[in-house]
Amino acid sequence: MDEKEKKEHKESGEKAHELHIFVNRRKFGRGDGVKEQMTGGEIAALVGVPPEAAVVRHDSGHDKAEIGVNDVVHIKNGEHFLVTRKVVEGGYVA
Amino acid sequence: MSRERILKELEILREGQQIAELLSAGRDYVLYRGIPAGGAHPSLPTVTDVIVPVPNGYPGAAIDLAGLPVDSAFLPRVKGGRNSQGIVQADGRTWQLASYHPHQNGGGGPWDQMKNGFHTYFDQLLSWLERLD
Repeated sequence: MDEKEKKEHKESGEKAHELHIFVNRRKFGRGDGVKEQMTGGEIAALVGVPPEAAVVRHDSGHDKAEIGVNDVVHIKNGEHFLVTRKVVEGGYVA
Repeated sequence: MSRERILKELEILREGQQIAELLSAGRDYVLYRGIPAGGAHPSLPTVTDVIVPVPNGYPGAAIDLAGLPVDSAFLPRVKGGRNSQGIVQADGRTWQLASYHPHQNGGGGPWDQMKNGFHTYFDQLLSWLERLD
């Protein structure tokens, strides 16, 4: 591996380890507002759901526990969350 | 319909381990596989596949509707599930489209083609499959 390849390999490794999470199966990073500690409400905001309307849950294996919008989560890199709306309407068109 | 755009949107979900495919079955559909579902209903499956038609004029036209296999236990329980919007044959299965219109006063906010797409419609499907009757 030459120097250029080594540099690219290192950068690509660093990129993979940059803090990020997945919300509703979409990736978000620091530029989107991801940080080491986040509230459930801040996680919901990443997918545009206001805290008063949001239900936030873990999306990892058997851990589907609900996270309150004011609860603080210590973010693990690459962690998955699901955010849904409390109210869903159906059956009509405006 | 911008096929390239849709494939990019589905690639965003794929990075998060959500499989979704663009199908041509008379018209175009996106098939989402294994969406988490059921909320707190222990008698229901934990995941389901959902089909969504690609609207004519997409992305200028809003994504609308959602379909489940005709024998799905979710069909009578999801919002709009009892109001059939048509039957679809795709992926070797028969699907029924439900009357679910998240971007037309259905709770998902107005359609914005600059930020919405099949990757964000997944959010609407998650909510639909969790808030059951």
